[in-house]
Amino acid sequence: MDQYQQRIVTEGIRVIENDSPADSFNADYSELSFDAALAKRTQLAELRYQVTPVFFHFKQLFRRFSVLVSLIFLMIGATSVSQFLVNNAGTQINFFWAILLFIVPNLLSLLIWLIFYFRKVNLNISWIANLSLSGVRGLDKLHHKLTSKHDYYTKLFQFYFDHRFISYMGKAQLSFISHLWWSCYLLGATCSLLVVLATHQVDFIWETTILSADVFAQLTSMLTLLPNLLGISVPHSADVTNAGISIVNTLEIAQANRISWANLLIFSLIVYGLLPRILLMFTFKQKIKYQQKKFKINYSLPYYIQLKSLLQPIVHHRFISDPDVSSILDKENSAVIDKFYNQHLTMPLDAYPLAIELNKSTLLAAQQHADQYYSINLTNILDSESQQYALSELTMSDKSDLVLYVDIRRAPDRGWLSLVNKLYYKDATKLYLVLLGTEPLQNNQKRLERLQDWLEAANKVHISSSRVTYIHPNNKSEG
Amino acid sequence: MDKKQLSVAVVGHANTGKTSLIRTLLRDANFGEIADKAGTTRHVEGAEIRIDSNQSIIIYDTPGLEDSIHLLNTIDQLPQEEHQDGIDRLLAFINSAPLFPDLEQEIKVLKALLSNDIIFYVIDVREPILGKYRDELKILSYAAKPIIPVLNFIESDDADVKGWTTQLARLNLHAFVSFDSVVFKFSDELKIYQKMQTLLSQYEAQLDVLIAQRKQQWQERATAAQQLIAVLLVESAACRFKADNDEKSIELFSEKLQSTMRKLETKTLNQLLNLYQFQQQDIDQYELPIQQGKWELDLFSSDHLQEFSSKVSGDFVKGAGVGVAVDLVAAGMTLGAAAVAGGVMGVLWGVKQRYYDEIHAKVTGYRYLCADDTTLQVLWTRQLNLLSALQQRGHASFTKMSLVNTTSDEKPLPKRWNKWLSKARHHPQWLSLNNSDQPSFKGKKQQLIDEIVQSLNNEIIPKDE
Repeated sequence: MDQYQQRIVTEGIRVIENDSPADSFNADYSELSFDAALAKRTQLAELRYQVTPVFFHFKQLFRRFSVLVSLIFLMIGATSVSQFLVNNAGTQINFFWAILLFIVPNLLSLLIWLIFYFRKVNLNISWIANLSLSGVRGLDKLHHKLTSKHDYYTKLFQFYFDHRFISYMGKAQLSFISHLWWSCYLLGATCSLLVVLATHQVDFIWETTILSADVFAQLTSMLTLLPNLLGISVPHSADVTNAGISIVNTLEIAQANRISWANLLIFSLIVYGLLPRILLMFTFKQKIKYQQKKFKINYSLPYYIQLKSLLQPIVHHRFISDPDVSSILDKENSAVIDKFYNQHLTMPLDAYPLAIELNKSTLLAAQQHADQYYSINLTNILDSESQQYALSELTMSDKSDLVLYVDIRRAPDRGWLSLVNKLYYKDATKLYLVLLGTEPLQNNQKRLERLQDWLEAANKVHISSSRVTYIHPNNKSEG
Repeated sequence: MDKKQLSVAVVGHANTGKTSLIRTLLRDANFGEIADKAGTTRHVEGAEIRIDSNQSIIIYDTPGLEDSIHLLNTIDQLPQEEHQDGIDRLLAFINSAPLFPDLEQEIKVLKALLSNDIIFYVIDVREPILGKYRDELKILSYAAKPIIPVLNFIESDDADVKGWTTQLARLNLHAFVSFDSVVFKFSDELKIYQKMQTLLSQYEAQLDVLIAQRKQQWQERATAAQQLIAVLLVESAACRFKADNDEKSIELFSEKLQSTMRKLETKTLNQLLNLYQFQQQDIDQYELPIQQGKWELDLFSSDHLQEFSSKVSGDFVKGAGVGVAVDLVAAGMTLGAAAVAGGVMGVLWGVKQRYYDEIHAKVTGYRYLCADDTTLQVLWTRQLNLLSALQQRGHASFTKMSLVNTTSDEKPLPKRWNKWLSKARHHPQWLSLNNSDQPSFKGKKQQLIDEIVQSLNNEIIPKDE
């Protein structure tokens, strides 16, 4: 598959995926450029979508159709000489009619082609697309082709037709086809004319009812300009009046006349008709090849932007550089925790109150609560220094129990656990936990979850849920 | 050639949003684990951002420094005369790690501090300013690495940004960045990289490329999103159904219209979510409330007349071309009559092709059902709201986006709104589901989409840079 084919298949896949790329063709795209990654994805996706056979089928159909029409034009060109050019007796050719039949329509169609070719707007030939689709479908059904049963046959055809004949290559492709068909028509006519001239002795005549001989003379001088320069024996414009008078001329002069007029006719057909068409045909053949080679996918389309995120996300790769093994053990050891705290906790009277990491307002609430039960100033442990201070105060204290005030909003962490473990300064020390909040817990899912974290943490440092309570300004110990 | 890698360690206290920050920077909602509790991240996890084949940035997520008081005490208790330098002290502590199993997580952080080029110290500005954070910063300072404090959750109601910046200034940390990993601002992300540039001059060029790439990606996504919204508007306005003028038929086709409109919106919604790397679960109910309107062809609208005249002349030329060929075949004996007849036939064919359906419907009393202006306005506003939500959503966000309760008058309509709708409604063929035989005028459709995108860019969507 060459690059153009691969890209056109990528576009076909875009059509099938309906502008929303499927996240199902996973591979390692990380080391590749986006182009290469896309090519790789196309190869993978193609295994599922099978776009290539469908496009190949369309290509074959168009090629066959084009060849068939070319043959028809070749036949028309060939038969038109004997049908329209040579008279019934096969003895005369009307030179004016010959020019009118082959050169003038050719020039007119070239003019129309030029106008269409240089128009900036795209061609609107969707009806031809629909007609072609019906025709292709009919043909496929007739031949029981499997491709017509492809799930996305219609969509792919519409895309293929649009790409080949309307949007990207439309002008070049249609130009090529038009020049090909004209070339065939003129080739058929030229060959047929050569055969007629080789096998018949014909006289060339100018016949008209309304035009003057001057018109013929001017036309002849125009047509003979180039062959004269090339040294080909062609009649002089003055010979126009003698063209049809072989009867009155001597045999030699008449034969010379015939040859020079035949030369002019063949030369005109080839040089003014066939040759430009063939040249244009090959030019557009090359242009199509060039356009195929230059065909680039529009990566700014939303589909490709989405694909970029899928194939080459910002993260190139992820890895764990320092794994944790203890968490597995932690999970295994985690016990089932009581979901409830003691709503009616009786505060121990012989206890030392301590606050841990409280902000100003929460510390105030804790102080107010502690003042109801204890005469000791509340110490707020905030850093290393305050921790050292609290621990030394505690060791000097004669209190047997400890009441800890914490903010329910804060998450208990290993630092808290480590601190609380240090607070067991006496073997018989009992710890109580007072969670401080600002509102009732009911219907506050976030706080209820945090409560659960605190109960789990308390359990880890041997504070049972019966020694945990929650207070808030509206209700000192919530029920 | 060696790969140039810049490595970043993201550290901070537990539950400050380190993993959230990384998720948002990486646009990867699957990075690490997030939970509203301490000790969620227990591995040191890295993610490589590839700049090109030779340059990349690796970001390391670390466990939270949960016990900084104990850690600092332990480090400071090491003999000062042997380990005067902070790095020596950290290394000595790391080497004696087996003696401190309870500080296993902190040791991982210390290793990350020493092995990376720069440190993001993430602060949850909703938290009170506690002394233990000073301890954390003191430990970080031992590593002698550039530190960027990242103030996270700045958009929160209880954020104390001023308190934290004052505190950081007291600790000689003046170069901080504000970032909210939930309410995302692209400009904040760029500021992080720019701050890295000022602190790491040797990586300036590398970061320049990264910044340019990110800007390009952001712009590409925004343009693609605008294109999707424009396509949705054009196709929704073009969507129509022909119904008999009776209740049953109207009801049937109304349902079809609603289903088609919803399908179109769902498709766009999924594309937008993909574009910004979110998933459908990130969005709440989004069913579009649809009313149907009756559409009538306005033959004399200016756009219509212009298009009609251009089409008529085109069809005339085509028909006349065929006629000329006939004239030529007849050797001019028809005196150009075939050309004239061909031209007229071409025009008639064009008119039939373009207007047969509408005229036939008018004569036979059919009705065309399409989405009314209000529905299209709601649809438009919903997409703009969604785009804005997606552009401001961090990849660590848990709350769902919602499109319900969007009203038609939420946002001012663009100046050419009515023209856009009129144009789209005149081209049912622009929605492939309509199966219209009319010429596609794909170029015109693209022109209209481009115009809408332009308008979105200029007058509707605010810039975030």
